[in-house]
Amino acid sequence: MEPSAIAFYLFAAVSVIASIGVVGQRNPMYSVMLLNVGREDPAPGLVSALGPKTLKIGAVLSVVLGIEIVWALSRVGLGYFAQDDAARSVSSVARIGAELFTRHAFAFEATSILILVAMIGAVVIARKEH
Amino acid sequence: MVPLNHFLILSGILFAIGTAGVFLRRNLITMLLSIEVMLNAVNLTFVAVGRYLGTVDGQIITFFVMTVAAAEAAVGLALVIAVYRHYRTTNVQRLDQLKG
Repeated sequence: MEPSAIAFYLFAAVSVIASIGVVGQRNPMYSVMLLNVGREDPAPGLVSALGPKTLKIGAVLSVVLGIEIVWALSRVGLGYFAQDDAARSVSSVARIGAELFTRHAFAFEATSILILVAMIGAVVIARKEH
Repeated sequence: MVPLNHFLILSGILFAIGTAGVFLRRNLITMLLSIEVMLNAVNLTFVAVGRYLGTVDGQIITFFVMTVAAAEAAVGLALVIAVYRHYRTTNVQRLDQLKG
């Protein structure tokens, strides 16, 4: 079996187990940590630290960043293994950037407005009433 | 090389786990996280099919999905915080004020 296939099945197993843990945990804090193990999405981890089970944001940040770094390194390793022709043709950052800023430029700008509106909305909804 | 079917099966499993979480759990935060799992399963499908077809379109759509997911998580968690401040709970079964 190729190294890339071994890596895929290994990470697939980790991903499925972590996702089952996300759904199955009683404490949402553990669910967030498992989501970070299975994926890489630090935003829910940071914000849910403000929830009922309060944890120091610094601790959450350090754990999330640690997991992020490990996962980023593992992804780099995965990319290194998967250097066949198909992967090389679609893994060019320059090509993705060129497509994003030419053919999909309008969608890109619209997305930035969406994020701005969502950010303002989140601040307005979550602020304390005086 | 891993065949496309295996990516799609993994994506289907992850999507099913996320769907089960949305329907079975009663905690608002866990429900939001389950939606994140579902969105990530869809992202995996986009990237896998894009790689299979030899285009970067799948990765570009994934970029947009991640952006929308970030916006959804920000607004959703702000709503959870607002609900918790008002009701002192994140259990959806106790939010029955609109029940007829």
